[in-house]
Amino acid sequence: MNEMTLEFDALLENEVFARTSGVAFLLPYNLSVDELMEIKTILAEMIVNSIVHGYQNSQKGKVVLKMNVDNEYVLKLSVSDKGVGISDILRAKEPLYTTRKDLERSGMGFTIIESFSDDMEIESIVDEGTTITIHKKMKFYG
Amino acid sequence: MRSIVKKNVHEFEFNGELDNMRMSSIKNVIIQLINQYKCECVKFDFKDVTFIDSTGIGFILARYNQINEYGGELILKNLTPHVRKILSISGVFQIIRVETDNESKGVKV
Repeated sequence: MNEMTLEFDALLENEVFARTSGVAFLLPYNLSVDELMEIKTILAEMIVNSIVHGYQNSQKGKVVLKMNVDNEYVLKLSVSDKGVGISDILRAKEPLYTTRKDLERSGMGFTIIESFSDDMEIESIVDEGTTITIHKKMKFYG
Repeated sequence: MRSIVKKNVHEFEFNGELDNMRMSSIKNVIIQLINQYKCECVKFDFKDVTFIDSTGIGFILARYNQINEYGGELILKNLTPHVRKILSISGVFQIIRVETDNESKGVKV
């Protein structure tokens, strides 16, 4: 088992830092470019969700990224925030549904996360926060 | 990002990672440029784009609407495999045309 945790301020500019760090953590596993791009996209979607929706772009609060890889090369990745939470999770998962049309959000975040991972779990309590967790079996080329 | 206007074609060349931060820094300039020229045909060239996510999808769909409103057409070109995958999942190809290789080489089809 190999594990990492990263806690950072919910600032827009930290998204690229966290996304890149997450990818860097996986570099020793010699993944294909396709797999790395999928994971990079999952990371971007999850972190942007926390900053833009969880903390409503307030630039306040912390986002926690956790990643671990088990002996079977299954990646577990979770992103947590203590933001506003999601009142209707089923609705939020619908393709093209967004609460922020004004910001030109596409409403495709969860659809993209889901299609690039083996399973996705959303835990959310209104006014307390949200944790999104995915699992993805990685192909090991080492 | 480069913007070139030739005859009635307005082409935008994007590069690098089109993430949330990047999109918010170039979005308003592009909205303004499109409105300034209101070309019949607006092309987005993704040749040098290495990353895109749902933020980019939202941007493309919003520009499609903006261009549609004055009667123009948005065309996408040179999609890299990653960009193609993300756009395909999002159903973008059902409403927005992608320029084929033949078209971009000037071959009539």
